[in-house]
Formats: sequence, structure tokens, C-alpha cells
Amino acid sequence: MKTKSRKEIYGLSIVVAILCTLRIIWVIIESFNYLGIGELLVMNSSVIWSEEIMPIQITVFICRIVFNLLFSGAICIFLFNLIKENKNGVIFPHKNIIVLYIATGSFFVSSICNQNIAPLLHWGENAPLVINVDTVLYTILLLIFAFIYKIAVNISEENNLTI
Amino acid sequence: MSIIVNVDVMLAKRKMSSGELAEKIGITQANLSILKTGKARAIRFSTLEALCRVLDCQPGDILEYRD
Repeated sequence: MKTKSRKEIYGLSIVVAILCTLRIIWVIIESFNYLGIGELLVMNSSVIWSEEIMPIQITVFICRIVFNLLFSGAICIFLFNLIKENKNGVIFPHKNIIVLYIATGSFFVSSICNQNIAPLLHWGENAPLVINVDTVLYTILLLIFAFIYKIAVNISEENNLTI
Repeated sequence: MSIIVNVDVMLAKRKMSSGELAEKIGITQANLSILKTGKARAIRFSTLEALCRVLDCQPGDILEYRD
């Protein structure tokens, strides 16, 4: 890979890592606020933990933290593998295929949880289930990217066996 | 793979080692090994040309098709 392209990837990877870290910190602080600890991002006086829909609230609350962590982690691992394997001359690391699938799935779940956590905790039983069209669109795009990446890995591996 | 690369036969005829051949045609010994063991998926014309030039043979002398 050319030096300029490599430097661009390194630079963008650092930016992505910072953004992923900030995203996780934001989710964690907001989650603590929802539990009544601090009011940095959420006025916890308006949070309603309803007994009737408590299982749903808890599920969305926990899934939000877990899948946001998973998504950010998957993105960082993808870039880390890319940079690490690039030093060995591999442009498309094989192990990134499964990482991309995990990122796609966790993005979908985390997005739905992100969109629904506030209505669920502020409106209780009256909260509508929100599934944004953008969430579905970006998930499909990520999935397509994962498929194309898989094809690129196969072509790259075949190219390595071209003497 | 149905295409067999018979480099060993030509190496024996020319009394050359694998390492020497790899160096002369400009590929690594690992890649030459991939070629000899039939694991290669494709061969570039430039590599085939170099093989024929160094081994002083025709492509048909080193490439064989088996059904």
C-alpha cells in the first residue's frame, strides 16, 4: 500500500478511535443519569421506571450499553486489524469479515436502543416503538460493505496465489 | 488443480536448485514452492516467460493438463 494511503488510514483510524471512545463515554454517562446518578446529560427527575414495562425498559437500557460498546469495539478492532496486517503486506485481513458482520448487527440493535431509550424512560407505557428509516438504510449499507469486503478478501487471497 | 507445473523435471535436467531458480526468475522460494506443489491459482505470463528463459524450455515442457 502506498505511504500516503497508509498515512491517511492511520489518521482516520485515530479520529475514529477518539469518536468511538467519546461515544462510549457519552452512553455511559447518560446511562448513569437514567439510573439517577448525576444529571449531566439527562434530568433524572423526569425519568419514569414503570413497573408494567420494566422488563422492556431494562432490556433496552442494558442492550443499549452492550451493543454500543460492541459496535464501537468492532469498529476499532476492524481498523486495528487493518493497520496491523497492512504492515505484513495484507490489504484485506480475513478476520475483519466477521468483525464487520458483528459491527453491522450491533449497529442495528444499538441504533434502535438509542432511539427508544428516551421515549421509554420519559413516557413509560405511552412510548411508541421508533425504528428510523435511516437505521435500516445504514444497516443495509454496512451489510453490503461487509459483502463487498468479503469478495475483496477472496480476490486478494487468490491474487496471493498468483505467481 | 488440473494444470500441473513440472518444474522439478526441468530443474533436474538443468542441474539447478530451487533456490537458484527462484533467485534467477525473481520470485521467493515460498512462491516457487507454491508453484511446484500445485497450490498456485494462476501464473503470470512474466513469470512463465522468466521460467522458460532460465530453464531454456517451452511452456509446454513445464505445463501439463491432467483430467
